[in-house]
Amino acid sequence: MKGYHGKLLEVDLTNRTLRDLSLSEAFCRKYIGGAMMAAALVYDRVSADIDPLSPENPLVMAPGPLTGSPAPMVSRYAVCGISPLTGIWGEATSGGVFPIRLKGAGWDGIIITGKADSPVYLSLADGKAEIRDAAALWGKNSYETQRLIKEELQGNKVSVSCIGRAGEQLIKYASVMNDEGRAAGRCGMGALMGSKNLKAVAASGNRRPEPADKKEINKLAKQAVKDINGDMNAVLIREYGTLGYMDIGMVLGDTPTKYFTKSVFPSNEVSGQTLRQKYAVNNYACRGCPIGCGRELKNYKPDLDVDGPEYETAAAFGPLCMNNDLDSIIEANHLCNVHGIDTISTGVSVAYAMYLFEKGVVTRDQVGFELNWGDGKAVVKLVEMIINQEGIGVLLSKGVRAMAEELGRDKEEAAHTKGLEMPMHDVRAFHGQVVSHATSPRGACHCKGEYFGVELGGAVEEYNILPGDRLSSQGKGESAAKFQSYKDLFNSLTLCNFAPLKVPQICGLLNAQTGWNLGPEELLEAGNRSITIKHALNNKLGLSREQDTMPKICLDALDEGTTAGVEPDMDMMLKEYYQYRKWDWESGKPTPEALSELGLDHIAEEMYPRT
Amino acid sequence: MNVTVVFHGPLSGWLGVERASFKLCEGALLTDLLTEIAGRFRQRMPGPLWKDKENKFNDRVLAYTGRQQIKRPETLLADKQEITFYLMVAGG
Repeated sequence: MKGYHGKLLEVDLTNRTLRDLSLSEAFCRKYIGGAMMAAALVYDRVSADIDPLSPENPLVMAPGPLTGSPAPMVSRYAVCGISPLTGIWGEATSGGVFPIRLKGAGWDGIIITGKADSPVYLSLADGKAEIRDAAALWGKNSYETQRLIKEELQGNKVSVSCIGRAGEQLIKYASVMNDEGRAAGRCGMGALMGSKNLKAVAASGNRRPEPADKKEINKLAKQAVKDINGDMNAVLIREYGTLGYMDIGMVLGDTPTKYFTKSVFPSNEVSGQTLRQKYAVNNYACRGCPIGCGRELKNYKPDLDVDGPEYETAAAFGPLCMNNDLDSIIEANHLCNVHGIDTISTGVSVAYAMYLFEKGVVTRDQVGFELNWGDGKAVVKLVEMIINQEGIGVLLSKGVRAMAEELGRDKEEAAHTKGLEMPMHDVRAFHGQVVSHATSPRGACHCKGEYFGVELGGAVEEYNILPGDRLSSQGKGESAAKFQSYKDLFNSLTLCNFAPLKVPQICGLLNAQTGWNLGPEELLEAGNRSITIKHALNNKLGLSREQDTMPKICLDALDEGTTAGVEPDMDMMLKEYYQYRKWDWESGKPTPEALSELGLDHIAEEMYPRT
Repeated sequence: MNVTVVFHGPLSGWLGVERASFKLCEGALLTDLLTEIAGRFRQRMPGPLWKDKENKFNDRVLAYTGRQQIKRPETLLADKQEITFYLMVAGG
């Protein structure tokens, strides 16, 4: 088989056993790699009543078939399992050097079950795997952990993916960190790692699968780099990072403000330009990426370099909290990276606390200080309290769904979908985004099906996904469904969301790597399969259509800005979405026909048992 | 006649100014303004931002006057008109 190693590493931490699991070409062609392959593995291994923090919950780390190939922007990996935060399908991705080294170690992914009786880390190097003692690393932050493991393994070509203190403490939205400040942030995969007493995975090696057509993939990769360099979005994020979107998002009403209740805020103080003007900024690029969207702030404090905030982070700690103190945003971001918690879930939880403070639901006595909108120092203090599990930080560390439940608040004011906090794209600015947020299998998601990208000119002609009136819900359900399927595949290939490649280019690269002959239709079908298997897994865990929704606080019309007075028609779009997918509107489950068409008959048999 | 141009967000970063005034002939069109903009700022623009052959910004740059988008290059401009250019790309 070309393009794959043809095997996974299966690790049982309870019994401390390691074994190879063969992958057939048919399995790889069906599930591609990365997150979809992980979903197929997880589906078969979990029961309906799985406890996400139990040893039985498998943790999968998987790059894709393009990782390690000459294609650009493919050094990425997916970290998946049942989410400790949401209790359903959990998926997070990250880029850097680690993914290419994980692939180079000699496996197409690792699947980890069980729980070690003491802290351990996993070392993968050139086809050899070893479970090593991590007692001395327990309690260390994510940066220290990475440095200490590299020293221990004496390899400057070792990369480390690890958890910080948050993962050890099983904080619900703990992240998995690699290459210093790169984060597989969402869904609390760090807590899943922590529940297994697994501190880190270290990877090294240069075992890259032979591509099927080396000459062709080199040619296509060269053209892809040329196209990326000529792309306007790439130019923007190379110059200003993802934070370059702040000014644009604010004009469009896409950057949520004051906990989703406003859309106007003077964001120039926290923009990508301001970051570049105020600090010495270096670009950070994942291996093989010609853009370099990451930011490194040199000498942020004496002898301290920090990673710069992404747009999502700056918006969550900034406008969402009415905070224009850039230093406090950088500080909060750094704390999240160092200790390993998701900046989006953290920021939304902090903003919700401010919202509740204003309403008198949360008091000064409970918090320990005034919690007023725009107070950057209070934002940083709350982040510290979350990490240290101190005072009200304990409640905030459970996320907004649990906060609303414990405080007896209306669930419609908790900004989440399926338990995952809302990212920093306001659906009132792009109605098609409602579909992406409401139906995403992992909960509210801006990455897979980022419909704002379509409306801003990112057409996908092959699938008739075209920009339209961003403030209209008409016809968006089907279009958003197809776009969601298409983009979901990026986490399987694994390809960066910012790669401005066209469908034929993606097919060409995958075919040259694997020797297959996938066309655009087969690619879309794979995307449909990816969404459907994750949705079916959620059905297995008890979810119905009721959870494909968004809270009113994120939908109610605002009275200001460019989105004033508009309210998306969620039901209409969802009905279209379900129709496209052939999912049953009453039960929320894929129909047997839909499952069969996607080659998921084994799921149909389980979901619809013959009596 | 005089026309004021506002470069929003990242555009102002690249071009080095947020606002600029242009003196144009009576009856000037948007395309005339674009020619003037290129003459003054082309050197500062990153390559993909400007299409030399078509004498216009990248398609991702939109021109607005108030809340009205100006789509056609042959649109007639008026004295004291203010035109804002926005870079509209997805990010984050």
